[in-house]
Amino acid sequence: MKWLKFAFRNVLRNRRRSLVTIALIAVGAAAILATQGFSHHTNEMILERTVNSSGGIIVSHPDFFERDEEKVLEMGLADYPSLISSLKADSRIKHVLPTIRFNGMVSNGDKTVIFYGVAHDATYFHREDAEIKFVSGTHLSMNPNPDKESEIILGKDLAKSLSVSVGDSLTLLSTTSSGVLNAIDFTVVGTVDVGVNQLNKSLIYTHISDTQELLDTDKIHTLSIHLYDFAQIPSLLTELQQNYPDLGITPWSDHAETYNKVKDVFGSIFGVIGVIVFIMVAFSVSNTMSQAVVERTREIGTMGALGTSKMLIVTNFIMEALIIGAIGVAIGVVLAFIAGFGLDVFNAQMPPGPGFTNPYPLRLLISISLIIDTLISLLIACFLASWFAASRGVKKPIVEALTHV
Amino acid sequence: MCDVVSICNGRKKYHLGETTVHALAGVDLNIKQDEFVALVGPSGSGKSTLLNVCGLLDTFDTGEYQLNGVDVHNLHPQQLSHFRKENIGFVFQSFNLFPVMSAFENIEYPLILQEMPARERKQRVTKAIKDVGLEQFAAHMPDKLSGGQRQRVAIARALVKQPKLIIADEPTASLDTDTANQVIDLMQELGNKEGATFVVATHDERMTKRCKRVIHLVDGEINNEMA
Repeated sequence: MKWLKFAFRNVLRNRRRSLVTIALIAVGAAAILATQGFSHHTNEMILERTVNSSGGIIVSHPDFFERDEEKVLEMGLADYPSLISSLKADSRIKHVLPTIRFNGMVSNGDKTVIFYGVAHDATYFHREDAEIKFVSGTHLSMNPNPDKESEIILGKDLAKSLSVSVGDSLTLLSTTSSGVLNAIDFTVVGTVDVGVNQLNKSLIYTHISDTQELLDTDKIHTLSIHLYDFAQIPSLLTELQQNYPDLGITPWSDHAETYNKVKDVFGSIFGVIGVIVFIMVAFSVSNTMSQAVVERTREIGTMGALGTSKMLIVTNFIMEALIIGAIGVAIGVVLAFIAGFGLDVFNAQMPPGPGFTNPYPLRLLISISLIIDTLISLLIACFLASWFAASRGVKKPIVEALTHV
Repeated sequence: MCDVVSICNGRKKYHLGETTVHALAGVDLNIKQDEFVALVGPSGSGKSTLLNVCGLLDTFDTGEYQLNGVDVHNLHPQQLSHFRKENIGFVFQSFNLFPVMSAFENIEYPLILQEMPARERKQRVTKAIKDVGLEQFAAHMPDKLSGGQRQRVAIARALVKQPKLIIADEPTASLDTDTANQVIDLMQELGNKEGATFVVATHDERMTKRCKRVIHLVDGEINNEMA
């Protein structure tokens, strides 16, 4: 404790210099926390949306994600209703939702364009946590009337392209599982903005049953398992893989290209920022400690004369640097929280990314582990810088150090 | 009395550019316990070098040196550092107190290095600070003390660990006459009381007049001794 007390007093000796160094570390720490906090928040947001949309676990034919189908639903799941019943018996599972992905042509009579279709059970749209941004109209019906025309939801730009609105009819043409062209009329019940330009121009949502009729099949492509708790995904995944060895059972992350890409991009960009801050802090602390070592050369000589080991002298300088670093990071944490609070209060938004249509909230997710990581990394910078500076300082012979002016 | 310092044919040379300077040219010196010895001589006579070697801050190129019966000539730097910590006290011309430590803490410093238990440390420092008459200034930082008071703290710091040898380099050079006399009195009094051996490098006649043994160095050799 004595050494710590002396180190603290030494930090206060040249207050202006210490303050400048602390300020630089604080800004560096705040920059790391803000950028990493933003990255974490964005990743979490995409993760949540992805899992919300695709489910935490996806059940499919074992080869479905491995190779392309030669025929429609060639690698589909046939006896899926019993599988759904069986899976729903597990109390951890909230929803088991079948999905078919298909494509074809959609026509309003005058104009025909290509579509990319996703067929869901209506429950998908009626979930309390469903995040679908309707531009007009509403969801597909939970219990569609068989006497009425089939329902369809269009991407907003597709609807615009076909000049249709809610209540208008369209015809979908697609190839059935036996390779024959089939067509069914649909009524537009809603238009949506899915946030991605390309999808808004081609996406349609339909009922599973209507789609099966269009494709002349009783199969589906995948079952999306939505859990009450994300954290249970790994354990349930393992159990299901053991219980259903003939099926392809994969976690959401295997198919979350956007999430993985964003995570990689942010990881690279903010990793570089972290490295720059690390180097900046190391240089600043090295400079501060080098000046301190030069100014205190005679003191170092006196310590050496009195029998203080070189290691203890270096340790004292390292302690000073670590105190400076810890205070800097503490202030940086406060600054980052103030910045995060400000962004919350002013509801700051990031502009849409390339190819996307919606802005997204600019928020900082500053976790304890992020703070600890930042603290440790900057303290390592302080440690290395001060060790380097002090080690050079103690190399001077004691006799020379004692006569230093 | 046994010899605390025993030097035989100590030689030391420096290279200044292409010139070789013989700082010590075969010094033989024996100093007994309790002695108060002054090293005097003109600048460049080798007294600082001899003092540094005596204090294990420097080493001879050749020669033998036994400190308190231990051959210290061949000790490596870590062993020398440990030896200084345990056996040698220093008093410097510029006091060399640690500015971030109070008078009490400065005196305590050598005992912290020796890892002495806190209670014993406190007793020893309290006694030492009383011996130099600075009880009321224990909590003062060095910059709040006068020159004489600072040198008293330095003397207490040198004596607190009860060393065999105290090396003092021009301890009165920065002090006025009254203060210098007080410091000399204090060093001699405490030296006798603690049984410490003093080796003092000085130009100060006030000091040499009061030393029982004065060693004159000229050109790296002991020119004469007055006892």
